[in-house]
Order: sequence, then C-alpha cells, then structure tokens
Amino acid sequence: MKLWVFAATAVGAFLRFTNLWDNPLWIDEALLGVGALPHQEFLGNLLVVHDDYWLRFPYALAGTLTIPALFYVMENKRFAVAAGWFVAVFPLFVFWSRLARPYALAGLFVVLAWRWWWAMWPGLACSPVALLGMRLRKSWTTPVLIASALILYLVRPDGDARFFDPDFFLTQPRIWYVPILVVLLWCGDYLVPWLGGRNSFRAKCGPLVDYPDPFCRLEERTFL
Amino acid sequence: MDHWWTTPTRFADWRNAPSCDFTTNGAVYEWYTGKKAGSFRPVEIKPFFDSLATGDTVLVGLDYYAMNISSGITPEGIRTAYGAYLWNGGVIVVAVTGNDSMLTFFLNQ
Repeated sequence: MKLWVFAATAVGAFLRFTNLWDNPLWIDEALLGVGALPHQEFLGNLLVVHDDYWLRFPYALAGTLTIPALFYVMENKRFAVAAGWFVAVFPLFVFWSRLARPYALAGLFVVLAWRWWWAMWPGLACSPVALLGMRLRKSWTTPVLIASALILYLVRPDGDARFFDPDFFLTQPRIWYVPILVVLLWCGDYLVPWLGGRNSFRAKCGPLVDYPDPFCRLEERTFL
Repeated sequence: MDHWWTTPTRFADWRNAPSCDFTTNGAVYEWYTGKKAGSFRPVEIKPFFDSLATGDTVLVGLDYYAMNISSGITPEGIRTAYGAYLWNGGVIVVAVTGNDSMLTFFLNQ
C-alpha cells in the first residue's frame, strides 16, 4: 500500500512541477509577489521570492505533500490511497497547485489538522476557508479557531459578504479545493466505515468526539 | 486554457514587455519590469487623461483586460484586430496622443 502512495506522490509531483514556469504569472499571483496583499495571505507573504518558479514552488510542494499526508492522517488506508490518487491527478488540484495561490497550502494544513489540530493555525493564515476542515471538539480549541478565522477574515481588504454568496462559491472552482479535501477526509473516516457497517471507533462515536488527548492521539495505530 | 477548473485565471505574457506609462494589468507589469505604471482601467482613468492633457504621448500596455474591464476605453478597432491575440495571452503597447475630444492610438512597434 505504501508503494501506491509513493507512486501517487511521484505522479502528483510530476504533474505539479513540470514546466512550472511555463505560464506567466496570473494577476493574483503578481499581487502577492509585489506585496499588494499584506493583510490577506499571511503565510504566503513570507514565501515570496522574485522568481516565477520559486514563487510557485511552495504551493506545488504543498500540493504534492498533500497526497502522502492524506494517507498519513486517515484511518481508512485503502480509501486514503484512492483519495491520494484522486488528489494527485484531478485537474482542479493539479492546476491550483501550480499557481502561487493559497489553496494548496491551506489544503495541506487542513489535511494535517485532521490529526493535529494546531496545524489549523497555518491553514487559517493561508486562507480562512481552511476553517471548513476543522474537526469539532469539545474543548477550547473549537471556539478559538473559529474566532481566529473570523478575525483573519475581517482584516482582509476583500473581507465582505461576497464570500458568503452561494453564487460566488459556485462560480469560483478555486474555492472548492479545500472543501473537496474535507469531503474526502470525512468520507474516508466516517462515511465509508459507516456504510461498510464497520465497528470502528469513529463510526460509533460520530464527528463530535471528546478526545482525552488534545492532540488526537489514536489508540495503538501504526501509520507508516 | 479555458476549462472549468481554471476559472477565472487567464495569463498575459508581460515578460520582456517594453516600458509603459499605463497598463491594464499593473501588478503583472510591475512584477516583470520592476516598474510601476498607471492604471488604464475605467475607475482609475483620470491620471491617464491628465497625462494626455499636458500634450504628452503616453504608452499604454494592453492585455486581455482590454477586452473586458477596460473594453469601454479601448478603441473597438484594437479590440477587433487584436482581440484573439489578447485573449490568448498577448500584450500590445499603443501610443496615445490627444485630448478629451479626440484620442489617437498607434500600435507601438
């Protein structure tokens, strides 16, 4: 199974890094590059390098690393392999991993936050849409993350109601990057086991779980 | 390039673009040339007309934004002649002279 993950990662890397400098910058990438987005992409602003390839490199890397990260964080390893291949080759993920836009970075941290809740912080620093990947917990982390996302959204110069407009969501496929990843995570760890009737820990407990360990340590599991 | 997953991206090749006084895509122009240019867009058009009022000839860089956002201030002849080129990532530079009543656009070869 690890071989399949490695193969998916290799394919994903090839699709993302090949001729990364072919296209000139899109205007939103250039706005990031010239520093016109100081209160919007906090993590992205730290990664700006004045070169087309290296400006896009972190996002291609994040998109590639999302593939093995899915396998690492998900309980359902078979589904995780399939999800990894889907992320590796699906055009939406490939295309937006090849641009210096925050979706691929946010997506990686959303996946990591599935296991380590604190990974949501850099995810939110990329884009408040990362909040969609937050797992509900009966602890202080949930309201703090929600409040953080709200603050990060309100300080954005474009933080207005249009992001809550369903039409905007439907007509901007780039916004679907993180939600699709979230759907994959939920399907793999909840829906598929439930449909399969498996007597798994998560299938019994559902999405709102009171973990004794705030770092979501799972009992006696080996991932890699 | 026009696939559902690429919406709304469109690329314009400002690499090796000549110097312009105004552009329809200031951010990309600045990234590749290191220079700032005025905006050739309807909401920020006043500086453009102010420059023309001094009698200067101004150079305007046009990309695909001349076909949508700035279409109202880009001559129809340019949009007709170069529309496909601009939509597919091309960039042209035109020299503009004139005043409020008559503007003349020349393709800057």
